[in-house]
Parts: sequence; C-alpha cells; structure tokens
Amino acid sequence: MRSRFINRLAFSVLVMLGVSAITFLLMFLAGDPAALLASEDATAAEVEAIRKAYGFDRPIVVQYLDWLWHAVQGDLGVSYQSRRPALELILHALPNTLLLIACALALSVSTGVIVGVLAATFRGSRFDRLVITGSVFVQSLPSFWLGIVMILIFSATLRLLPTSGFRGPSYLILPAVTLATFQVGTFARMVRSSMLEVLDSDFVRTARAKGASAGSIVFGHALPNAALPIITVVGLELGGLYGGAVVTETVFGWPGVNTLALSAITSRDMPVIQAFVLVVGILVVITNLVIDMLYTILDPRTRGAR
Amino acid sequence: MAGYRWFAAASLVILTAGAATGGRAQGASNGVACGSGQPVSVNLLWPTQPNTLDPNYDTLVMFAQISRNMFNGLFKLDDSMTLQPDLAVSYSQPDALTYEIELRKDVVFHDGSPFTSADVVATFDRIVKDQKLASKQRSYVSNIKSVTPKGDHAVNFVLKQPDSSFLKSLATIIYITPRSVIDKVGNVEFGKKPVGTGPFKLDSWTMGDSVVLTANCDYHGDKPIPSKVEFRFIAEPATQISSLQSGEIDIATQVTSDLTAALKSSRDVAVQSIDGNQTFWLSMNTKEGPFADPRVRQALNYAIDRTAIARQLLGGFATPVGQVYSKSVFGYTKAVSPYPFDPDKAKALLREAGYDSSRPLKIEFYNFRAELNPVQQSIASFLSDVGIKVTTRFDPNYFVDTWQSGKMGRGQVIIRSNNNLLMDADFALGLELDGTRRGMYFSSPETDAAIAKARGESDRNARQAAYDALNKTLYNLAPVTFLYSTDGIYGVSTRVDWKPRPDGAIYLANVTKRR
Repeated sequence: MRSRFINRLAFSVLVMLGVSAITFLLMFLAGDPAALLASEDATAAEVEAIRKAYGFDRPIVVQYLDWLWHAVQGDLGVSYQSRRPALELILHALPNTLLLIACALALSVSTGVIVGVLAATFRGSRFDRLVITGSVFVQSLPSFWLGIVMILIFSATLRLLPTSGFRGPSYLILPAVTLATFQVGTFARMVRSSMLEVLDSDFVRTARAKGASAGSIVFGHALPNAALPIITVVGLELGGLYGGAVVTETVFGWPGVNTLALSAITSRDMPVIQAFVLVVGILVVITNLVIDMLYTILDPRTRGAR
Repeated sequence: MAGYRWFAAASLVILTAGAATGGRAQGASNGVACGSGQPVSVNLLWPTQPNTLDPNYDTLVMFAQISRNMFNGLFKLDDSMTLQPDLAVSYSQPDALTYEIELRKDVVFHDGSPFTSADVVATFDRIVKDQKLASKQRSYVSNIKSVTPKGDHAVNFVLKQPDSSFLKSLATIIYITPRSVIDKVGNVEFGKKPVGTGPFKLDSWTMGDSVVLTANCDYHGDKPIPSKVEFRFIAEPATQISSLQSGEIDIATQVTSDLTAALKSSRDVAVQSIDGNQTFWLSMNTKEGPFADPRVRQALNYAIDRTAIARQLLGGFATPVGQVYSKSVFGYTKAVSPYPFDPDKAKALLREAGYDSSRPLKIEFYNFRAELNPVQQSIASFLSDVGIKVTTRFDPNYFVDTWQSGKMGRGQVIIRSNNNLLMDADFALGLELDGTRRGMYFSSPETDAAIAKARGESDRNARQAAYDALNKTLYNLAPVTFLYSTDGIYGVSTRVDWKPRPDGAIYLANVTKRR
C-alpha cells in the first residue's frame, strides 16, 4: 500500500513538472511579452527598456530554470497588469471557485444518487424511463444557455435571486444549479446502472431470501457496493467541473479563478495565466491521487493490484 | 512673442470665466447635502477585470471610469468637450513650448494631506521614469521635456514640440496622485488602496466583482450627491442586460446594437446613445506592394458600402466617415464627406493601376477582434465584388506582433479602431499617420509638416482651418480605408438622471436617483 502510494506520488510529481514546462512555454506562444507590456504606441526604445527590466532578453532555458526555481518557492512572477504576485491573485480567487464546485458537486451527487437509486429500484417504470430520457436531456443543455435562461426567469422576471456576483448565499444558488445540471444526468445514469448490476448479484438475492426489508437491501447492501464506480466517476467528472466552471463563472460574474484567468487571457497577462494553469493542473493531479487512494481504502480487492 | 502674451492673457480670462461657469453648471447639487442621494451602480462591461486601481498605469477607457470619480486631473473636459480647469486654476503660455499652470490651494487628498506642486511633479516622474510600473500612459507624456515646481502651488511644463492638444492630455489621461502615499506604500499597495482628490474615495474592492466608492464630503468642488457608487464587472452582455432589468445596476455600458431591442421592450430602462469617439478604418502597408499606389487605396474606399454596414450590421448606431475621427472630435471637417459607394469607379481605378480579371489584386485581410468578424466578412464581400481576391484571416496576435511593430507584409490589411481619448484630431493623426511619431506605414513629408503645423497652432480657428485643409488632402491620398465611427450605447434605468458624453466618460458626482 505504501509503495503504491509512493509510486503514485512520484508519478504525480513528473506530471506536474510536465505541466510546468508547458505552462512556461505558453509565454512565448502569445508573442513578444515586452511588446505586450508596452503601450499601444510605444517606441522601440521603450519596448527594449521593458524587455531589460523584466529579463526577457535572456535565453529561454535560463528563463525557464529561473522561473521554475522561483515557482517551487511559491513565486510565480508578478502580474503584468497589477504588479501583484500572480499566485496571490489566483489563491485569492480560488476559494470562490472551490466553493462553487463543491456545492455543484454535492448537489449533483446527492440528486444523482437519489434519482438513480429510485430509478433502479423501480426498474422499467414510467419514472425510470423519465430518468433515462431526462438525464440525456439535461446533459444536452449548454450551460451558457441554461445560465442565461435561469437569470431571465429567476432574476429578471421573478426577481427572486440576484443575477451575478457573490455577496451572500443566495448568489450561489443559480450558478451552482447551472453547473450541477450537466453532472446530475451523468451521476443518475451511472448510479442506476451500477445499482442494477448489484441488485442482480447473488448476495442481494441471499439477503432477499433471508427476508431483509427492501430499505435495508437497497441502502444497507446494494448502495455501498454500487458506490465504488460512483467515486471513480466523481474523480473523472471533477475535471469537467473545473472546465464547466469557466462558462458558469462568466455568465454569473462569479469572482472565481476562471473569471480571473479569462480576464488574464484577454489582456495576455502571462504570469497569471501560468499560475492558473499550474494551480489547476496541480489540483487535478491531487484530486486524482486522493480518489485513487480512496478507492484503495474502500475496496480491499484493489490493494494487491498495482 | 507679443502674440503669445496676448494669448496667455486671453486664456487666463477664459479659464477663470470657465471656472466660474463650470462651478455654476455643477451647482445642480446646491442645496443637496453631501452623500444624501441613493447609491448608483454602473456595470463596466469589458472582457477583462481591473487588476489595479492605480490611475496612471493603463489607458483603457473602461477602467478610467473608476479613476475619474476618485481622482482629478489638472484640467477636465466639460459636457460640451470644452477644456476647464480642475486641479489647476489658470494657465499662461509665455511661449509655444512653455505652460505655466497655477494650482488650487484648497485641495486635500482623501488621507487629509494637502495637494501641492510636488505631487504634480512626482506624478509625471513616476509615469516617465518608473520602469517597473511600465505605465502605458508614458507615450502620452513623451512630448514633455520637463515639469518643475514654482513654489507650492504652481508648475511649469516645458514641451519638446509645440502641441496645442497638450492640455487635453492633462484633462483626459493623467490623474494626479499623492507623492507622500506612493513614497510610503509603493506602486502595488497604492494600486490596491488608491488615495485621490476626487469626489469619491475608495470604500472596498472585491476582486472580480466590484469596486465601491463613498462620497468624499471634504471634496473641494460641489459635494457629491450619491452616498455610494458601485462599479460592477459583469463581463457577459446578456447577464448585464438582465441585471439592469432586475434593478441591480443603473447604467449598463458597451451595449451592442443587437441587445438594444431587448431594452426597448422594458419600461424601467431606456436606451441612450450618443455620437462617440471611436472610429474604425482599414490600416495597410502603404510603403511597398499594391497599396503604395494611391489609386488602389482609393479603389478600396469606393468599393465599400459603409452606409449598408452602419445600418444593417450595426443597427444604425454608426456613422460613415471619410476621416480618422468622428464629428464630436475637435478638428473634424464637415466639408469632407465619406467616400461614396461606387463599385464601377473602384473597378476603373483598379484597371488603371494594372489589375484586372486575368491579374487580380490579391490582399490578406486581418482581424484581431472576434466581435468584428461580421464587419470583416461584409467588407471582404464588397471588395470581392470589385474583383479583388480577398483572403480573410483572424489572428488575435496580429495587432501587437505585426501591425504595432511595423512588420505588415505587402498587400496586408487590418481592421482597427481608435478611441480618441483626447477628443482632438492630433491624437488619431499622431498614432496612425505621422511619420515623425508612431505612424509607421503611411507618411509623407508634406502631410507630416501639415500635421506638425496644425499641432502647434495655438489659435483655435486657425487650427481648425489647418485640419480642414489636411483632411481634404488625406481624403484624396486615402492612406487608410475610411469606415465609420460608432455611437456610445448605454442601457440606463429610468430612475437615474444621467446623460452619456461623446468621450464616453462617466462622472457620477451629480447623478440623482429616485427610490
């Protein structure tokens, strides 16, 4: 178990190094960084002065090693726009994004589990068919469209909820629901098929034969066994949530890390873009590591396997 | 020299009179207690968020809205775009290069420290010399040779070249910052917690969400009416409109013509538009290749139906022009109309220049802003109609990497625009067509001399006449393909009393709002 953990950790570090190299090279895809920093009508001499001041005149390898050396110490450079540390900006906005993702995840998992369990229990019923079609339907809704429609209904027309920003719990409702909607379908279908498989297995038949109640069969025996694939899917879907949050944050003006990154991309504020890619990359790697470990703990069968 | 002295005396009289009337015009707030009005919320629709509230870093029109409510310049433009003193009291001009500016003595910064000439000098020093700040306003002060204090409440500016638009740059781009605060906390901290002299002071800044300012009741001018003003950063146009309709914001900016229909159906909000200061044209490499021939450049101008683009694509919120600035900008020539739409003439000119169906003119047409794709496509089809082989390209880096660094290839064209921050002809001419300044593509000794002469002319009427002559010459030389200038479009709650300005500036101190 420990060696497996160390292996996974070493692999994660390699992935992060790869992410860092790509992240660094991003800077040179967007054109001359010194020209970006200068004003629209800067003279060549002004651009050169900025190039020197920011060290863009050194060889790329030297710049990368220098950047990496600072990065491992938590210094990801200074925003071209605000001159504030890029990491500080990202870490300031990150909690908002994590909160949004956590709420959306809790919402989609709980809804998905309840709906999926019910659908599996009443297999073939009208409700079951509704869940199958419904989950495909909600997955097909583009989130920017869904977000705008929800704003039109709940904010502009009914005036029940605020349109955008984040100044209190009520501001969380529309973006979390929008972000969760796509995943609800995935979880419901996943839970349903996983439950059906378990409900058909021998130990459930034995429990039934022993006269266990329907409730204890579903929640006591079947669900814990059906939970394993759900955890895997949560791990996979988290990447989707990070991505989906970009659109959701923009539509709802959510002051998260994606809004910041989009703003940085538009103004080509490279240090902030680099910090964003690196931090989100690390988050995804860590999440996958945790899920992997969780899987090993929950399912004794996977412990021996490498 | 006597002429200058006469002019200086006259300008002093005008400015003092201006100060008096300016005061009266603002006197709408007389009798209203400071900060007794309802809070006002403005959304600044822009794809990026402000990362600093330092007023002397960027030149972006949108975020200057925050600066101009928190800071003052030495001068300002009033609602009719006339120069008025702000932190200055008056000025005189002993010669073409020297400006002696008297400062107000009753001004304090938000932290209570007095405003003096040392702050003015330090403001300009920081923009010019601070390499780490790398202020984008640097190019706008590059014509200043020196700034020196004359006692505590007067400064002398000496320019390198005569420039009659100089005072307008002090009125529109450069805001005065407190030396003592910046010396103490540094640029970065100052960008987080700015301290100004303006009618509002910083209350809070929630990154990515909003900046809130509160009324500064120690303000030296007329006391601000709203208790608070809020600047929101909703970047999604549809969300902005919903926020306006639900009453969360009072003023929506950068509204596009396609969304005005949604606003017109709403009772609580109104669409307000005004001739703006943003002008579009096609810039091209005129030094070599096909566009070195003026007949080809004229052909492009005749080939495009600007009126159709303005009406059909831009919902009528645009005006075709034959100049590089709009009619609200000083120096606009009424007598120079836009090129007429005349495809036959375009074809004839192309034939004269040696292009026909067997040897068509081939051009590469670049666009770097996604929102301009429809306009680009439409122009490309007009150009194809007269037999030009057009390859359209979208490249977000083209402007910075190629156009701005003067590396445009033969036969390349880019659609671009200019926000005339100074509301002055010289601003656009200096950036696009003056070979002695940035103009890196089209220039000629004659037009350069004419631009310099108009720039140095201190008499307003003579200066206008100089631009009238220049605009006629430029029309015929067709250094760019002239397109149109766009209107500023706003969605405004019917509860607030606010009117847009041609320069797009939003001042909130006098805004009243009904409950």
